[in-house]
Amino acid sequence: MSNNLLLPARSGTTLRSRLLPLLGAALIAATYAMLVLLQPSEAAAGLTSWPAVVAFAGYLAGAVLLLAGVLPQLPASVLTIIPVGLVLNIVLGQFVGSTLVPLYLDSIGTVLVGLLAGRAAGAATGVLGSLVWSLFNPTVLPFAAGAAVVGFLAGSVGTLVLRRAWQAPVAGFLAGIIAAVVSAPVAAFVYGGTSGAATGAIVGMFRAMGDSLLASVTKQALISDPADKAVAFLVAALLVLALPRRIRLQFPLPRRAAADRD
Amino acid sequence: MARLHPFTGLAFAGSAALVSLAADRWWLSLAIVAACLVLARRRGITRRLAGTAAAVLAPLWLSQLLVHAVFDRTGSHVLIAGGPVRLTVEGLTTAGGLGLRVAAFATVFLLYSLTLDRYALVRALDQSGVPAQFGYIVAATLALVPATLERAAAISQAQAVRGVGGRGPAGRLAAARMLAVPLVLASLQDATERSVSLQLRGFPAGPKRTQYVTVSARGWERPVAAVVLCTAAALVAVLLAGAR
Repeated sequence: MSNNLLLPARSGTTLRSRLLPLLGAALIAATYAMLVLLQPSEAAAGLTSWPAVVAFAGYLAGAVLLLAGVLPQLPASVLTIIPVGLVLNIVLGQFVGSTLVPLYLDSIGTVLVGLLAGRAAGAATGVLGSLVWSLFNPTVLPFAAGAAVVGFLAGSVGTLVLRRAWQAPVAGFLAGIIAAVVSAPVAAFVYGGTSGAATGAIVGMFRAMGDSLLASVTKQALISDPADKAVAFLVAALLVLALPRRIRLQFPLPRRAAADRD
Repeated sequence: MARLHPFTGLAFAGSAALVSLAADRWWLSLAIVAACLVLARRRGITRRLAGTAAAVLAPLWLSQLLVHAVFDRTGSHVLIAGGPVRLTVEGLTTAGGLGLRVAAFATVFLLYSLTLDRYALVRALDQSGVPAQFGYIVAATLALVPATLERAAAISQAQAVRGVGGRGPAGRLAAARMLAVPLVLASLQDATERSVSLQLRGFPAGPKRTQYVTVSARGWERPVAAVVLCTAAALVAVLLAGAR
């Protein structure tokens, strides 16, 4: 990828840009630990208010800190592909969310940016996706942290997946498990279930078997998310590999994958 | 709300959403939804707000009904029972309360979004000192959503003329591939060209940039927004302390 043509490239790695993402990740982890360790019995009632506020505010604040640290580091060439990823998320997610399919398919754009430009760009796309999409659908706002995790994981496995495309669904499946665990408290405590009818039916089934709300939502997420992310990773990897070599090699991860292969 | 500075509107919407989430009272949620509808009526967007909110909330409500009411194991006032289905008054009350809470949260943000001048938001972000990258991404995404939908429709029509696709899963998959690849390719090509333009102009420049059009808040907006935010934060703290 080319550097700035007129201005000298900035090093970008200031103390702030290192500290803020760490703080954001720590806040997300602390929020998750607090909700899971302190709240499981009250969650069964579904109507308690403090876990909802903690899940909403803690995850969102963590995601915004992450974004504030990562965004100024990204070069213009990476920055311009983030809106493309966001638009893909919004267009596909809005369509699939209104159908009775127990998948979301709202992270293909995030994964695509992660596979092209790496971890930081993937995580930033995840958070920005939730922030900008909330202008069209506010219910996605508290899921910003989960979306950041998906983008970060896509960037982490990008080179591997682009060298061997068959590994994309496997990596997506594993990323889906982590995303499910991170996002389940938001679905359980903020929305008292899930944000879709088909996924709600699965949670209802687990509730009928006697599981608590958090356990039911986590189990449902562990069914839906790995499959959803496996599809998202596979589609995104195939899209990257279907791009002409000239365009593909403008981005760091495909370039690294190609160099490893040669 | 359209005449307010974008950040003032955001402060009001965020405060209302957070208080309704923390208070968790059905009457407060209902009052917030009603207030949003009244404000929407004054702006002449009641139908748009109701339609968008219904599209966003319908799957959520259905989910909450299935999770809390239809298979409720604990409620004592059973309305319908058969097989795994056990619909109870308690379950319906829980689902209704959650539904109203989410409705208040979603409606207040949708009202903000529908009455927001998105270009003013981008300008306000640029003026506020947040990284220029954030303003660029918000502006680019808002502009790209309709442009991408238009481009997708044009590609679909072109592929249909070529006879791509057909009936059955294989045909649909082929049609989806023939739509997705050129769409993503063209979008990335545009993005690459935009990045050269941005780099040529030294993006992101330093914090001091010339603003050709500025968005300013009226004198009362900043103190009122600060008071509203502080009151909301205090209310949330009191409500949460009471709930524990």
